[in-house]
Amino acid sequence: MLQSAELMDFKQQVRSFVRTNLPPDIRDAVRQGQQLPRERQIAWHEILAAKGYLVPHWPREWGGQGWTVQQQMSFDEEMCTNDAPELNSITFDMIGPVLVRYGSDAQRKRFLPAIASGRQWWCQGYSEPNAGSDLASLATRAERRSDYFVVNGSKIWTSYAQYADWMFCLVRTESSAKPQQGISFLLIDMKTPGITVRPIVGIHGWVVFNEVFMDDVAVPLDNLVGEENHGWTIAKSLLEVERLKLARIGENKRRMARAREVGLTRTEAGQRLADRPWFRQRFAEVEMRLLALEANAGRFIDRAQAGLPVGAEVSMLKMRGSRLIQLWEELTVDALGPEALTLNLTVLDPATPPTSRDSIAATASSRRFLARGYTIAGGSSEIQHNILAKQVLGL
Amino acid sequence: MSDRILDDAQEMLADSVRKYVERGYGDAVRQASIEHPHGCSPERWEEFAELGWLALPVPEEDGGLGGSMVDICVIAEELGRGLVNEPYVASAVLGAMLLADAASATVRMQWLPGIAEGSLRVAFAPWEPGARFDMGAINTRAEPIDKGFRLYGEKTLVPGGAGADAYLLAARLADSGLLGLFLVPAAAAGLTATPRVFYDGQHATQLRMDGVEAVEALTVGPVAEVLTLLEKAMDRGIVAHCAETVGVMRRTFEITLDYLRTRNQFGRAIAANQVVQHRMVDLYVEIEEARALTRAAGSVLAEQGPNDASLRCRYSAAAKACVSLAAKHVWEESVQLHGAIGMTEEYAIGKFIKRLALASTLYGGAESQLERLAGVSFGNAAVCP
Repeated sequence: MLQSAELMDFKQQVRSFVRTNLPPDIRDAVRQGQQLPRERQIAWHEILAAKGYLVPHWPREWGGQGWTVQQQMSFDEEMCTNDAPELNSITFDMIGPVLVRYGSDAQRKRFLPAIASGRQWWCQGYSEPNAGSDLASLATRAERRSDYFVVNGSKIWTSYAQYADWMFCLVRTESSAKPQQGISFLLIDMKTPGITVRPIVGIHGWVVFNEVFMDDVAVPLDNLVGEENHGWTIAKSLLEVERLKLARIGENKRRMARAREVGLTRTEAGQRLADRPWFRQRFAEVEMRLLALEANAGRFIDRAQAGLPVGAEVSMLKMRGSRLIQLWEELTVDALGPEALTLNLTVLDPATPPTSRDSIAATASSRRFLARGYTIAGGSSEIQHNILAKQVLGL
Repeated sequence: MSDRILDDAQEMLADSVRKYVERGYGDAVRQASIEHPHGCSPERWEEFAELGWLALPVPEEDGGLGGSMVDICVIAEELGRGLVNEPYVASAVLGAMLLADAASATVRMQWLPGIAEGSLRVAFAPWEPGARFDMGAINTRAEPIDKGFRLYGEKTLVPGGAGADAYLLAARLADSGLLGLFLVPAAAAGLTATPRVFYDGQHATQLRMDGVEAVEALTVGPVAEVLTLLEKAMDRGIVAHCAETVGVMRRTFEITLDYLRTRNQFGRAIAANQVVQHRMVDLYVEIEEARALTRAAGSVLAEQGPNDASLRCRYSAAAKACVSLAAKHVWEESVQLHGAIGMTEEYAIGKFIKRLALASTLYGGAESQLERLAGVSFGNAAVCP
């Protein structure tokens, strides 16, 4: 849509920064759809941190840039469309802002500079085998002793736990009548004795998920965030800008570019796919939906920019943005046809150089399976429907 | 949701149109308009003029108010909410703006001040029989005579055409390969205007030109050039029509939601069922997106000017595809969620449903618009200049 000259300049700056500073091996791995090992991801964090681009959305005193909402959104979009790796939102968008808002002075001083340096990785211990979207029914327990909690239980679907130095974790500290009460928010050092991490290989071939077992894990009382038994409020709180980011405009544009490239490079019946009516209709429909999402997100950005709360309606951005990612990946595999029916797992390993054959096709099926996670994680689409029905339509 | 995208003046405009519709445009008024042979009550049209809505699309130098596309969309959306039957979009926006774009100073002076004050009405006849909504399919011929041209051909379903004082239509110039755009007065000899009524009660006209004498062309030029002129105008009509349809959808949604809240089955309101709630959420989100994209298209046309053809085409095609799909989804679900009563003529929802069904197709449905959008993304000069 229409943008001011300043915003265009800003985007240009970000773009030239990424293009100049993103190491080629990382860029190629992202394009290829390879899972980056922890060290390469950290290397990129450090490059961003040096420029002040790792936590621009944080408050200035903790390393933020004081950008407008619009600038933050544009920043993310430029990063994405130029093949920078997705940053771990658990670390930078969740625990960072949570500590800024709810952490003690000591906790902030201890953790925020470490996160902002790019070297500390966090994972989120929310879901459990019997508590997926319904977090209030979680069963991991923490018992308070004189100077520490003893935690027992297990977490599952813990993304990137195998990379993590720390985990923020929801634990039950009191078995009270209401399931949402009696939950506390603890920070747990992953090196604490009693923690076992079991990686879970996904249908996409990546190791994103893990199961985390905690067996008499001792957690210092200082690692409790906020008040004991009031962790639920913290868990629910996601800052406004982070909610806007869930529209995933940049990630959608990156996928649109891939689908487009397939359309321009593959043929059928002697025509480019881009000239085949079925491909044109499907591509154009998803493109139209992306334009609609972008226009819709624009209204929320304007609201946030004016200092107004974005409100519960913002759930619709997450709902639509996540679905669109799936539509792009589905179109891409359908367009590739036979090329996307195989997946050689070695191409997912960044130790393997990108295949000369074709990086889009090599991992298309993996990306398509990965995309299913977007409508499940972070409040499934069905949960978003419930939120909108209840809080917006008043049903 | 409240809109940051509207400035205060636009909020006031929306508010004033909404108040007018709420106070002055009830079922009896709408019915009178539908039953009027022109599908347009002269009294209402005069009121629109007094309120300045007809002057808004007309440039200031021609006696109008020179409003932006965003202002026009604000009015259209509120008229849609009220299911106003008068051809505001077809005549006051599409017809008048094309005339302002194409006509010489003399013709503008003859027509535009009258259009702005409501005493004259024009309509654009974009389509010919058997070619769907393809404006480029022109078989109407213009044969040069001593003074001007003589026109032969047919134009189908002219929105806002009933009761128009003149028609704007394109014809091929015999032997030269050029296209001309003509202004044909309704009273011209050799012109047969057959009334047609859309199934929702809006009126249209079918035109037959049998040697109509057109004194001079508004413009004559190479095919691509004239088609571009027509498409610029049509894109404004399309975006205004999208805004109107968004208004119809919003009201349809409210009526359906009210019904679901009050109608009890199995001892509780229908709206208490999660399956119903999720379907209403889907409609809500689609309407909000359609509204946002329409507003975005309005500002692209307003601020960028219609000169960046690909941006204009991209946004108007996307908005129309989005609105067409949403309108279809909204009306079909509204029938289903109302149950049998949703299929009756007498219940209020029926009229909204028919308007939405019509709107999803009129000016080119989703398939046509998506092909146009693909033309911008992958190229196809013939579809989108």
